[in-house]
Amino acid sequence: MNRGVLLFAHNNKKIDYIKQAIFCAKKIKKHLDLPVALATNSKNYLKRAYPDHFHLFDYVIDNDYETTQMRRFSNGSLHQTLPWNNFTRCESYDITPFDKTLVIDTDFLVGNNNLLQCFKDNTLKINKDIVDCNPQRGDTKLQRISDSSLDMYWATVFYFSKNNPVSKTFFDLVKHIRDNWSFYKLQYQMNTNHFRNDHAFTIALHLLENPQIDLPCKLFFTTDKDKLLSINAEKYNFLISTTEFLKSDTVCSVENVNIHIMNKFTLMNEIDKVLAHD
Amino acid sequence: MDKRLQQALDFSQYMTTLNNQKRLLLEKFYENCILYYNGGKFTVTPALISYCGTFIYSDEIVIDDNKLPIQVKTKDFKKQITEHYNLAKQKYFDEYNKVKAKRSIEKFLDE
Repeated sequence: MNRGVLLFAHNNKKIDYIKQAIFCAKKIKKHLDLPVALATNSKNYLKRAYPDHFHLFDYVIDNDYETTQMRRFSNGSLHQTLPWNNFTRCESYDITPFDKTLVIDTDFLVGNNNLLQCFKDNTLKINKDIVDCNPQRGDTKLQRISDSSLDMYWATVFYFSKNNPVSKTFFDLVKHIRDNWSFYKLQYQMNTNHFRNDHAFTIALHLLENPQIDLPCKLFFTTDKDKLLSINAEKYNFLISTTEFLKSDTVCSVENVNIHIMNKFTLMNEIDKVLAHD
Repeated sequence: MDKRLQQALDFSQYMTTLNNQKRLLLEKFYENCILYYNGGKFTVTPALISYCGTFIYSDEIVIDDNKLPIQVKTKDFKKQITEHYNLAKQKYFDEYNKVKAKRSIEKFLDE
């Protein structure tokens, strides 16, 4: 029974998801020691720009989806609108070369081996509960898909096995939701036009009467309003924003945890520094 | 700004950071207490360890975090959860002591 990790990387002109995938794969090899598959539309770019890191990926899978979807990406108080190609996550079941697959975002950095416990059985696993590194944020958009709708499950990291028939049904349903997004976003009262995997996965799980269980890890995260200050081995230092009266931004530090860093710009800057030292 | 108010705000900022670090360490401890056993997910607590001490048969049924009945080998399960919990609390203790020794915000960023 083979097992491994699947990553997705669809570059746009400002965000180099391939670079993030390389850093992410290094962390996976270090902590989980599992084969890594990369699904990307930039295979040639990977070979050309990072020839020394190509070996980190045991499989490179051509994967693309034509879209014109744009999204606002923030870097602290700055932001820019860029293309956002996130439509192929629901193809995980079809393209994975593994029987048991852990799918993770390239900006989710593995910091311990807790996720290995996933592979002990075939149940679909995905997390709802999150740990915000900023205790003052209290943003309900991070907890529910809309104010009057469902609690949100995070497609940032999830596990499935091809030995569980629910897995195929689940991904087929997510594909159906993706293809009929204009209906489902109204049905579930979402005030956004963007297709988001977290939302589609949540709706699919709801329709299937929640066949999933939790992952064996907490989902620590910082948003794109926070800035990654530095990476020291397994320690990540952040500047976290606050809106409290008279309070200024403060710092936060985490070590040996699995963390989702949403500020892609500061993450890329710090990855550059780490890769330069390697 | 009045110097006394500035000092108070600086201290408040330090306390905010310290309390947040403590909160994150506690969350990490809870994460490290999670153990998968025989297809079940268990967040190990002193109560679970103590409960296992009451088992009299070599195979027992325990209800996991997802409210599912899981059959466990009593001796092996008790050994695993005890070791898992001891390791998690030792890590928590070590890291907590490091954090509480830091007396300024800058120190939190040190290695």
